[in-house]
Amino acid sequence: MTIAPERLEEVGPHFEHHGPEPTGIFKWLTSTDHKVIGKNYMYTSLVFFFIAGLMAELIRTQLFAPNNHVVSPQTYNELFTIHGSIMLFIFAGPFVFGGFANFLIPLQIGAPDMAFPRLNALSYWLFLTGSITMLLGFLTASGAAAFGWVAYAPLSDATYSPGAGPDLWIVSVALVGFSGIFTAVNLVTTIFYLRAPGLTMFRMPVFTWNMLVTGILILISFPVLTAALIMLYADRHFGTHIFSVRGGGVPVLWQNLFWFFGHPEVYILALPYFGIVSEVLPVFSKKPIFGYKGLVFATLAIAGLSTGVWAHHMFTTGTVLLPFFSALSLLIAVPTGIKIFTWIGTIWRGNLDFKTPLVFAIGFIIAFTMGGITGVMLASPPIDFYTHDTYFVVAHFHQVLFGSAVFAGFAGFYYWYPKLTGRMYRENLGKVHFWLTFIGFNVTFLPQYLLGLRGMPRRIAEYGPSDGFTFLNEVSTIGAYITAIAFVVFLYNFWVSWRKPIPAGDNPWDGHTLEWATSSPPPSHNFHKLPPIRSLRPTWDMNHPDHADWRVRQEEATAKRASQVESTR
Amino acid sequence: MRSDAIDDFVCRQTLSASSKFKLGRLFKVGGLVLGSSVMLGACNLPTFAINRGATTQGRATFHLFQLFVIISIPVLLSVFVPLTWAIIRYRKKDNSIPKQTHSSIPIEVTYTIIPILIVVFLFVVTVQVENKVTAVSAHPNLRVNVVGFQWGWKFNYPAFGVTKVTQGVGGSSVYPQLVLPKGETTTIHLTSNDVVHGFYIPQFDFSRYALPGVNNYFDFTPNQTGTFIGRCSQLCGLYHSEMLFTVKVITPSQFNTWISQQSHSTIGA
Amino acid sequence: MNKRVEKTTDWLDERLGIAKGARSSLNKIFPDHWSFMLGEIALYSFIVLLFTGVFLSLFYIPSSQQIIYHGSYAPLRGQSVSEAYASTLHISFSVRAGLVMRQMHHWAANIFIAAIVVHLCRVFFTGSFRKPREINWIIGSILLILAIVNGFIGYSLPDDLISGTGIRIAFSILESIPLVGSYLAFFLFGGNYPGTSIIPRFYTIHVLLIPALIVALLAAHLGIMYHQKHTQYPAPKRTNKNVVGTVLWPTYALEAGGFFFITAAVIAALGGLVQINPIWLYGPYVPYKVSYAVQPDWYMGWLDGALRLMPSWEIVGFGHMIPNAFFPAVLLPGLTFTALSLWPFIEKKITKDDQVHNICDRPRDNPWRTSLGVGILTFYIVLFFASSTDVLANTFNTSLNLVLWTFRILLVALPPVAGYVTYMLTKETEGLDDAGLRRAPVIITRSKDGEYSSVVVDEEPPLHSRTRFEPQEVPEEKEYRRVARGDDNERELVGASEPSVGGDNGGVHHEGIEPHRSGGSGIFRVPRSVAGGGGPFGGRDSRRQRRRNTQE
Repeated sequence: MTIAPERLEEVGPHFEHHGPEPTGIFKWLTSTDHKVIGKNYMYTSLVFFFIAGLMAELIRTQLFAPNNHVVSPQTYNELFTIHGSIMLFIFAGPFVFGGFANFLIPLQIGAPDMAFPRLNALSYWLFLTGSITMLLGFLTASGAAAFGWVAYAPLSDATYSPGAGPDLWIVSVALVGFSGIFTAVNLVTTIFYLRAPGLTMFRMPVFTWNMLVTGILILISFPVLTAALIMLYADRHFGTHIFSVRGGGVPVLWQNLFWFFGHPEVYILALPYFGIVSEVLPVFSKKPIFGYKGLVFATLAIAGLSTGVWAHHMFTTGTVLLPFFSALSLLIAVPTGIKIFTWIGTIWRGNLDFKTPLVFAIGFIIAFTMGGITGVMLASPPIDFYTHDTYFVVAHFHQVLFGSAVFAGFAGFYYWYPKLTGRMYRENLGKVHFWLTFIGFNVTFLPQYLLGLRGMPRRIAEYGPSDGFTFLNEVSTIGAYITAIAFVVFLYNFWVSWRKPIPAGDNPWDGHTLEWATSSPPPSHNFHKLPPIRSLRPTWDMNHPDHADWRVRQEEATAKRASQVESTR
Repeated sequence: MRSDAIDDFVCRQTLSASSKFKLGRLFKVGGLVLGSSVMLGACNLPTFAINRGATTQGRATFHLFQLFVIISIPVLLSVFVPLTWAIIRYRKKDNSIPKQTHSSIPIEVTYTIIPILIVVFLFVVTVQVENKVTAVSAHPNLRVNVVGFQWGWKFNYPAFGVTKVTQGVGGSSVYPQLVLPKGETTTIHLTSNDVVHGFYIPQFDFSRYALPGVNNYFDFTPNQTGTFIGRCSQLCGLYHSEMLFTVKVITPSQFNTWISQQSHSTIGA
Repeated sequence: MNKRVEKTTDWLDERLGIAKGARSSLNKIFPDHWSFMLGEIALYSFIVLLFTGVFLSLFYIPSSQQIIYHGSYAPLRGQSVSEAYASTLHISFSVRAGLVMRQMHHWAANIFIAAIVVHLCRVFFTGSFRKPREINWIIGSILLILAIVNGFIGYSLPDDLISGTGIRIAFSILESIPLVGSYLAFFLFGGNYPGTSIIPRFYTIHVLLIPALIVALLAAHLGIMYHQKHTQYPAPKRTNKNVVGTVLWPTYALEAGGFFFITAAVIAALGGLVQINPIWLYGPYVPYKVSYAVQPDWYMGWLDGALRLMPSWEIVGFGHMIPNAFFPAVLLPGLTFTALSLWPFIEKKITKDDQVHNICDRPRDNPWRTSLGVGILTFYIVLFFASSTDVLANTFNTSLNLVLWTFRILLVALPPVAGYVTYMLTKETEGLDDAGLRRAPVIITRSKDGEYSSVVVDEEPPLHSRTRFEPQEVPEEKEYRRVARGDDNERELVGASEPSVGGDNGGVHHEGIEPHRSGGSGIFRVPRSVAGGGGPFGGRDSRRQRRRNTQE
């Protein structure tokens, strides 16, 4: 099939082996191949998902009964801090932009690798170091950081949180932050410069678009976080008074800086998962994504707006301009809504094949819609005054984050697992995983809305027996255990597919985008042959020449011209 | 001719109308119903489990919240109904390739414009309530200084020289009590001595941060008597969960009696 | 200038007959690799030790006599200290350049032993101890032992609290040897502990006995290496019978000199800028004042760790109880150094390899040896860290027992794991030339069909097979040889020097690679003769003839 390659276009230089290649652990340690690095990210972040999940189970166990003593208040505070930090910094983000994006972007745009492979490898090792550092806090004498993943000053300064644990947290977040920044540089460069011929910007898959926008958001927001962390470290150790009133500092500055990062961060966590869903739904409906251009512009609008809404996390400080931030926060619901309707439009009149990826994607839509609506409620300051820092907010963000990172994340994992490994998972186990997760998740978090409305604040280690929170907490804890069992089923599915592999083939789902045009797993340098790229769905066009997008477009244009000619007669 | 097919979203039915309800689909629908009923059914309609608000400000918040929930119901349904319908109706029966609709400008415009309109409406209503809730009257009936600290609250009535402060932490079941007169406007001046605390009274539908170096002012006009629990809502350290207080609303005459009894004392329950 | 040098060398040659030997020595070839310079660090730090040691010996008083301190360090004034301690304080505070010399001496000692260990590892992992270099290996092992012992004795001389504790431990270790222990201990200490003889005796051992032994063994070590020629890594043009590298004079001589100064500079910088062994903070040795965090110098750490980790078993042998300290502190080091010294023979027994090896291994090319070495090294590294159990328990606020048991488990578990991982890595990279190196740049191209393939742009040979200078034939050299052979046989040979060990193979030949240079007198030019020939000139060494040859 391969003809002698003509040196038509140079895509280098890259740096590789020119002799025999290592194949085992040395290959893994020194690889700069985006596929290896992407898989490393995915597996590492799943391990940390598991660890943070165990912490969540401990948290829920502590909250099962009033005045419980499963863990001490200090340990409880450490648990939710590290749980939140791991889930947000180490799992949700890196799973998709270190894992999926690294693996898929070059495949989806027809490139042989990322633009900076060694920088890519550095990103992974920084990420691994940062992740391990996050856990090291537990080994210190005074314990891990215990000030919540948001680390508000003055609680996080040296007076109120002394010891090495918080410092390790700061270092860990900084390392993971740098890893993210480097990955973002790599992603944006790759997407702008390494697209195959014919792949114009508006023929890029939605996942790639979302990753591009995410990359830009990372570049805007993470440096601010890094700066804030350095300031906090300086306050803790170098005698500065940036955030402490005693020295003329401004504590609320931390909140501003952190949330200027923090709000784009949640969109950094959400947009890639939107991209995953936008890939899964068309394939399993056998239709293209509905309203592609609108979707792209909605993504850009979300990214742009997200840089201007940070203070909706600070409504109750009394120091922010409420109407401005509430207007923008309400407005950001519009492009998000556009996306949701786009997804509905995609499956509308499709031919829905309910495989595990599709099922998880629909679970995502359900969870995210509910979470999104409560988010709109929170965008209104008076409602926020009532519900801020209560379990209402906890339920809201778990619905959106769990909805994206877990439901959409697993949708993507099941969808691309055959491409990653060349094996198929067991479909029935996947369905069991989904239903247990869906039931567990809803049983865990829906009662928490009610808890919040009843007045249960968040981050409390215990509550009283006469507070009226007991029953709902018990229900929520049981839901948490169900969700844990679901994860075990997932692991079993994974293990079985490894022990008794079923070969998946190049394109088990009749996928639409370029990654499905190469083998599973892809060869070194990704492609032996690129199909002609004339539309959004090159692989679909190749496999369904009668329903190819470019053919439809041609016919539409012909028809339009013909009708114009007719109307002028 | 295919000209009409592109702009017209109302496509011809190509799939047969009969559909077998597999057990899985039933569960999905059932799950949705269950989910929504947990959210809606277990609560008391139409408050939707939201506190009614024991102050005029809180009452305004309550009504706003109710409005938001009521508006969110059709929004939710506008997503869930088509979703459910699509799941049931367009289940795969064969390997046929459906119509490859790329877009429909009218639909997209609709689902862009309508949310914008809803959002604008919500914003207008929000601003009105927000102004009411955050208003600080120039001549309140009463001023109270509230200071949050690790891990208790100090209530000071400057006009009367009375201060209530919590006894201690982690074991004291005697929480400081803020006494307010019903029907009269009290301006609270809120700050903190150390870290950020959250001055949160669930049944007032209200909370505000106590920040060191920041002076927050807000009004309460309680509209019913009773004793309400207050909590700290912002993580402030080890005993954050025990930083409780109570708010007791009594009639103005009872209040005058009470305050005269409290004069010049600084430590109390 | 050259004429004057020539005159001098001729003057010396006429009296000492050194020309032939000097010529061959100065033209000796040494292979190029940074890893061959590690032993030199040890040598240079030893020279610094000698110099600084002489300085210190001018002011140190080796006496345990108790005196009242009246020196310049105020906090200790009026206290009863030994003269040794007082004289060390005197050196530190009152003698001009005393403190920097003392610190340089101590840093140099640490670096000396560290360099020996690193050099040992290099020799081990490259298999350079194999035939014919077993003797040198044994000498090296003895040097290591001597260096460690001398280091221990050296830091015990100031008689401060921490090193005094070490001496106490040494006494008990000696005592713990079955049958002869107490005799040995009393013999060394001149009586029971502490006595007053140990410091003076230590001084004599430290200044006279062991340095003399070290100098002698070092001379032997270097001489044998010189005679047998240094090993070299496998690469093109290198065989078991030649040495490809660079010439001693001027290149390596100047490089060695420069490296000496660099090492001395680093030691001086450390000695001047980084405090080490501030004995005035510890105070004089008083037996009942043992305190916390009294770890010894790093090279004794593994012994300290072994002592701490040894469970308190009461072991009875031949009807007598063997003191518990015997096992970690006598048996373990005994076995360690015995196995270390005899390693070449152990390996020969395992591999049944009787060949002469002048080409050493890249560590990755011998997986079993490398992974075994890593595993054993890990064992000693764990012991080293185990010497800080009390400090770790305090820092992490955990129980000492937890730390002890953690280390005991690590001691047993970590070496096999490390060895296994190393084995996997080396097996995988065996034979790979560029593993771990910066990769060659490639250009990735896309064909018409969309196939991506890569083309290597620039291939650089691996580091170890590169020489610093390109081998060049000097035209005069060729002409000279043609004349020297007395025929027109244009053999493409670049000469050799005298034959050395290797017997039946016809000797090891040196392929001289000389740097390109212009001019220079006859003695600097490479006088080579044909393979297997006699001396450098095939017998001719008359000055006149040499000059004639260079002019031709």
